[in-house]
Amino acid sequence: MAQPAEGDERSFRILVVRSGGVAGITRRWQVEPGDDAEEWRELVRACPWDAEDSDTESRDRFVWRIEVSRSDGQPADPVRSASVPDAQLLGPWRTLVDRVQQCGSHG
Amino acid sequence: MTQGIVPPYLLTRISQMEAPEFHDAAGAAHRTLLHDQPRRSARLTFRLDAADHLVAEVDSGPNRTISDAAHSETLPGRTVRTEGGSPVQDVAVDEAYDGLGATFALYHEIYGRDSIDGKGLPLDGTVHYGTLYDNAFWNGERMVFGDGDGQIFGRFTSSVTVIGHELTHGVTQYTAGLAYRDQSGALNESVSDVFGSLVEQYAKQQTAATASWLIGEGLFTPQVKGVALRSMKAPGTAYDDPRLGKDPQPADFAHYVHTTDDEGGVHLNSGIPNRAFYLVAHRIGGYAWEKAGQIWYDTLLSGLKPTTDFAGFAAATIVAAAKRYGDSSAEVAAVRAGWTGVGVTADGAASRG
Ligand SMILES: [Zn+2]
Repeated sequence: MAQPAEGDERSFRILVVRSGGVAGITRRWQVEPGDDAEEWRELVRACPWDAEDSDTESRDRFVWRIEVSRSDGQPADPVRSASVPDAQLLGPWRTLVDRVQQCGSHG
Repeated sequence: MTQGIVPPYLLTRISQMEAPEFHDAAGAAHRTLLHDQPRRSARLTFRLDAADHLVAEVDSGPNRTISDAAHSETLPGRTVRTEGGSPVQDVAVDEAYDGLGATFALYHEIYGRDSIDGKGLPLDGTVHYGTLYDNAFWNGERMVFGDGDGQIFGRFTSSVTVIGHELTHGVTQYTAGLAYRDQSGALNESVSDVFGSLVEQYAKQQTAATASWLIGEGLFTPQVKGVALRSMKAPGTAYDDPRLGKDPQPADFAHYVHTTDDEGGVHLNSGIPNRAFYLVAHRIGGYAWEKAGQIWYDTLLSGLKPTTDFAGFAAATIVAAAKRYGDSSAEVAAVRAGWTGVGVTADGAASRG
């Protein structure tokens, strides 16, 4: 089912990787949108992908890596990849990550 | 000997006592009163001296405040227990209070350090942070504890090693300032595990041979196949669970994990210096906080660069051991053997010292 994807074409996937934390246990969630692709695109577009967030004070907080790629594994165009400190996982980031955790598969 | 918490009005009275047998106590009380605002409490000790005089001594005590975030992510939350206050009907609050006390005790009684900054910094903790929050952290000012999700993790206050770990991040921030990425970040993590474990060993009066050397024992729910978050004695063996996978910590430098996640794997590669510390403590024997812990504490205060790597830290521990116990002491030999045991070669220039 061909979907008009963000920059160009086809289907895509959203990967969320949570690393750090005092336990040091990395967890992953992933979704590959189907019929609801346009809704997911909205969530993706709402995020501040180019913001440089850092948290140099905290120790043991989670770090979130969020990546959008094409279903064939190629990077999305435009490239969507960000590393977000737990303290900055707010607003559209939080909405997107919460949705991926609810709907996505654990890895 | 009786110990108690001295309220401020009594400190004022003691500081004004003029009889010679109370000279030391009056001086200590005076210093405590000068120390900072708002008023903190102090520890009062009574003993009989050789002439059967009652001697009262006042010493620094912790100044703890525990707050309750009530499952929000807003800090600090509502104050629920302050220094000297009675236990409350909330196990997370009381565990945090007691754990901060146990950590203060190790630093103060063994290393002569007055709190996180060495100047009586208040110890602030928040419990019930977030919803099903699977973590505990130090935010630069306070320790924050989640309740866990109930499926993998229970509450993060349940192991005193985790409380000691978080508070030690504060100590490192005020001393060596080890940068939180790559090797210096793994050392920062390891220092927190070392003193977190020593807090438990000191509280339980365990020797290097009888201690568990586990970090976060009992944090997992019974559904998880695992005993703890980490093992300092045998990194990589703390859990092996269908959902979580196997404990990924390396036990030696040959298996250093290169990754961009987790600030360069700071919670993974800490296994290497953790095991080095265990090997040193095991070889020296007895209570690990007495010598191995002292060497590591001296190292933290030795003027390390923030970007110190494993080899540089190893060299600094050898220098610290030599300073305290002598160049050809058994302690220096143990420190050298510990690092060799995990495949880390101490930086040449410094270690010849
Ligand atoms: Zn830590």
